[in-house]
Amino acid sequence: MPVIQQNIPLLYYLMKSYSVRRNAFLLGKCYVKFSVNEVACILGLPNRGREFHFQRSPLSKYKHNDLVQEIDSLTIEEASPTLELRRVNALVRYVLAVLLFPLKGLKVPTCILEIQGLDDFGAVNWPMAIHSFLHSHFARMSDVAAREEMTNLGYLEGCSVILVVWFFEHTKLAAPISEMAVPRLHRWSPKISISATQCSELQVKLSKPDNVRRALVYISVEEQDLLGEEEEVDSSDFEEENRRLKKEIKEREEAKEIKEKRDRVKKLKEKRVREKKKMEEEERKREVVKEMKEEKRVREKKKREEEEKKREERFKGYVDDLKHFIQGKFDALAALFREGRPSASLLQTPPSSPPRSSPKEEALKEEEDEKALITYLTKTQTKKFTPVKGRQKKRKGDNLGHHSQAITKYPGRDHLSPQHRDVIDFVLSRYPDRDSIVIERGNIFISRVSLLDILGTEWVCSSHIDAYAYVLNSLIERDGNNMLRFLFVSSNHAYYKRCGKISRRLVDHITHDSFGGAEAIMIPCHVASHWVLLVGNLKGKYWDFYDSLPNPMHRSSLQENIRFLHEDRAEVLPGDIIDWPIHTVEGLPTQDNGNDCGIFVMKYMEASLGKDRVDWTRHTSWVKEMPRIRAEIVATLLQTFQTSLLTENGFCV
Amino acid sequence: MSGSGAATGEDKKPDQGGAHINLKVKDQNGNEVFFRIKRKTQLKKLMNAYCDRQSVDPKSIVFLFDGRGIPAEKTPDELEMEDGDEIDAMLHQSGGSAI
Repeated sequence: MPVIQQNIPLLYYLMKSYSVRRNAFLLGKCYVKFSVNEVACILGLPNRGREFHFQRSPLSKYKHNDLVQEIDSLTIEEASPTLELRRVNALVRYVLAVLLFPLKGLKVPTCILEIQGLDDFGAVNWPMAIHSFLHSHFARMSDVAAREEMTNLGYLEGCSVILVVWFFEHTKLAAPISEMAVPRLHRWSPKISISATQCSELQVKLSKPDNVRRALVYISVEEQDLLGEEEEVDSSDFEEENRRLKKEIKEREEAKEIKEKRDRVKKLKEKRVREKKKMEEEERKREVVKEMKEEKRVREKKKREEEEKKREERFKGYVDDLKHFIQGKFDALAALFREGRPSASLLQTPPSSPPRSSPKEEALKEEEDEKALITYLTKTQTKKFTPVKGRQKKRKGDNLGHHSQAITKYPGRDHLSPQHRDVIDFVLSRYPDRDSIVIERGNIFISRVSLLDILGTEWVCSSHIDAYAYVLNSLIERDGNNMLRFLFVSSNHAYYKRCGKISRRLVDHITHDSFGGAEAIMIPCHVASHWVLLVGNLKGKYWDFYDSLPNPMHRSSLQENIRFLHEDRAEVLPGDIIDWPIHTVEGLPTQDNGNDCGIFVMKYMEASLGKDRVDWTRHTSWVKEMPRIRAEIVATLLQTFQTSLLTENGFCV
Repeated sequence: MSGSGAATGEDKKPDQGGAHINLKVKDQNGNEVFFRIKRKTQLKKLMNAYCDRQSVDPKSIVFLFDGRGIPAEKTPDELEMEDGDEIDAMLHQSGGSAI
């Protein structure tokens, strides 16, 4: 008997594909029956005789080794009929226990020991016994294999070699070494095997119908003798089985597909539900926002209505006050006229043309126009003064005399000394027209509206700064023992030069004489809508840089301004002024808005003219006092440039 | 302040030739506008016409003649202007630093 090697991967594969109910293995796509006749053909034992009930038999005390030793001991002894019978019995036991019915632990069942002699051996239907023994084990092992416990199927009792041969007989995966050998055990090489890798590909290979044989290929005459009658293969039954199998596979695939589809649909539904929830949530949020907006709108509306009501009340107060005021002044003037001596101070106020009884809407509109100037007024002030048209735009056909009668309001008015307040009131009343030039000297032109810019909170232009420098210069000439004498260069100098215009006239005043008597040079510079100040210290030979919004970018054009100055007055100014270092003055009071840089430059100019070092911490209140500072600057300008007008009218300048 | 040269107090000059004078107003970008006015008309009229035409606020413009600012009440005669003279219309440098 050939020793066909253990072929564990193949056995595992077969166990997994075994169907107990059908007593068949699934090879590829069809079931192939494992029959008793096939066992008979493979082993060369006839499928007939009495049944042998192997499984019910208890185990004996013998093991395989005992049987081998018995055979060995009998071989040594001398020949005798008894001995011969014992030898035959020993061999029969060996064949049965070791080859055909190997058990776990190499144990020997008692039923095998009961077989006595060749006659007894020949009377038993061994193929059937072997088949049923294997079949019972297949049932157990296929059950384990179905649970995917492939790593440990346990010990397959019985003659497993039969299975390996059966497999190769039913497939075309390998060629036999002898096609006609009987029994079929001898047709296959002892080394034939299927590796684990090959096993994984078996399913694909066996799927091809050509690779599987449903029945044994060739049954020889000798084999015909071995076959039993009752083991006819019912092919029609198997055909049906196979059709059912195919159908099952197909159904399984379809079910799988349907399941996948259902899963997809389910997922889509869930997604849709999620999206719907999300949309609902967003909708809720939108509604909440809408409600909030609505509430806000209602609140604002209520607030507006309240404001409207307040304004109406205030306007009513204005009109009454105005009537009283005008009536009082008119009476006083009438009395003076009766005495024959009109007063200058009374001329500021309207002796005639009582205020128009304008409709409510117009009055409100005018009030809005003057919003910036009116908001600062307290209620007590409104009793003293009429609503004003300080920045009212010029309209064609307007009687300018009408405007001249109003007194202009501005934020710093309350903080001014009475003298300054009167000066401003008087001069502005003399220049009622928006564009009339109030201050004019050389290149300095300041119109009424431009003065009102300083009084309000507007930006400052070069004329204002030039005019203030003129004021400071006048102050030094008049009483300037404790102040530095300075040369002033208008910002227009660099501006005109940059634009290619005539600029020399603006620095004509810098002569050898004036330069000799000066201790500083003041250059206000206009850098990207911002005013900064450059003060040259002629003794120390350096520049001080004043910036009310400290930013290194504001130093960008300083060198150019100095160069322009030197170019136009090279004969007077030393060449090294371009090389003087520029020091940024630290600790300056700075602006807190976007409007006051020009005013800060004026104040820096004023403060830096002291002979002592400036303690800037004393000037931190500039921001708070800006309305007063602006008004004082205007008053000072008017006192300087309108001296003759003021003195003629009894003002002390 | 020594830098503010006096441009006031010009003596009235006799009429030079015709009653009218042609003047050119040039802005910073080099655009030119021509005006024809009477020699005895205040230049305020020319300035207002220019500002109206250019749609600019008179407050924001300074007019220069020969490097000096032009007082609005002066006439071409008073400033000794000649036919074809050029007036520069410069934007005022205004600052508050609204950065």
